[in-house]
Amino acid sequence: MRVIVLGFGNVGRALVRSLLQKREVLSRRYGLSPTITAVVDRNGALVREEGLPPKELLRLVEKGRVEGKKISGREVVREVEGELVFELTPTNIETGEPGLTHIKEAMLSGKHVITSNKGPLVVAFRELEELSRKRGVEFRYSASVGGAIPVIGFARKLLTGNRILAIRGVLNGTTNYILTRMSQEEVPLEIVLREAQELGIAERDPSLDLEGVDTACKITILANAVLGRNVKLKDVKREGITRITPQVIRLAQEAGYAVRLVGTATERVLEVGPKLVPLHHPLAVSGTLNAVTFELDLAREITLTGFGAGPQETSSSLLGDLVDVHQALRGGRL
Amino acid sequence: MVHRREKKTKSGFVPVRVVLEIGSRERFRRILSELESRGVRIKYVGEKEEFFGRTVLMAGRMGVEDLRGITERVSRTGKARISDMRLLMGKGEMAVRLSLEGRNEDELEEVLALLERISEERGLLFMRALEEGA
Repeated sequence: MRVIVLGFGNVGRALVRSLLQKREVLSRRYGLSPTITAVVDRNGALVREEGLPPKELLRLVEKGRVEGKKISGREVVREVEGELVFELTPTNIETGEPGLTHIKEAMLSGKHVITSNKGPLVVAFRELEELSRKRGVEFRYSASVGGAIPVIGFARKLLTGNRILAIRGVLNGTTNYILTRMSQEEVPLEIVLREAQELGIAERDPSLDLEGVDTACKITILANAVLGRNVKLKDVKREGITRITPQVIRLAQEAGYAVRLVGTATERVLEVGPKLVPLHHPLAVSGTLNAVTFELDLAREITLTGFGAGPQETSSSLLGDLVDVHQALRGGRL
Repeated sequence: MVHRREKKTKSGFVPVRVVLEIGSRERFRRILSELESRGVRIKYVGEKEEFFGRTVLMAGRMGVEDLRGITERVSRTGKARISDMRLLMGKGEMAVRLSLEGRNEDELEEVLALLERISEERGLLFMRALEEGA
């Protein structure tokens, strides 16, 4: 399978590294031999129709940037031969661009798409699903929610006998780290935030995480992808963690609760906000861990826990999607 | 619901003791009248009230007077009582944890909705406990 990688930031590099590391396993277990024909970032594109050799890819990963032809991702998708596009460019939740254009262009040219980019999914989920169906291409986005945790695949494939009544999740590692540290140290949010930024856990501009926007994006995607709803980001009622003080944390702890930023999606509710989570509850995860609980009519409750962010963790979901697409094509499940 | 059947009496009735867990008094009355309309003779009705509990947390710029106003509004509903309250002050802001008790879940939910509305009106942070369907 010839693969095009759009976006060569942390996730793009981790994906290329994982593809190289797992070459033998992918081939032996699944009969899958992906060849990377193009890698694109904002600096340019490295294109080799016969496939970029592993040594060159490793050099590229170490260098961390692409120095090649000055052509855009859109042009590469349109002109370079390949069966599948990994869309891994930075997220823009306002316009979905450039990811949205990349994905549409890929589908229109008959290429399957795998993405970790929340932007296009938040802006145009139904449109993209519809387009992939019309063009007969596979479309996967497991890595957009829960990092390494296979939330979407699990719900779609393994909960088929159940009706999903609610999805609740701690879906943002940065805020969870901050809330965990606040409860351990009894210090204000600003101090823990600085620590998180120094450790690379929080962005320089952390507002999307702290204000619950990132979690709201993930809840929007889950509501659409798993509950079959047709909702947008603006439909999510949202409160972040910026008003959480050490006093709030202490009062919660005294009563046997942890404060966690929880996203909720049901048939009627879409919300993100800090909640009092009982300390023994499976959603009371610590540090950068994420957790998602499915409330089900038959199985009652199932919770998945794991690392929700990080390039290597995200690459795990991207590889999972790659294998899934490969198997769908083999099984003719288009 | 739990029920226990006794032996048939000489007059041909079967004494049955039934224990029902019902969330509202109105519903309880309806069940009694429905039983009577079907020819069931009710000899004795006993009642034991049980309470349901909730914990909420509110935080933001509020003073003791605001807090008193909030607790009075809860009391006025007659649907829940505050069984425990703990507050902490910090940098001009107050955080308060309220434990509420009510006779049934629906009424308690109404009081929680009231507290959420008050919090929104006053720009306060309002947090429910997750295990309680928040």
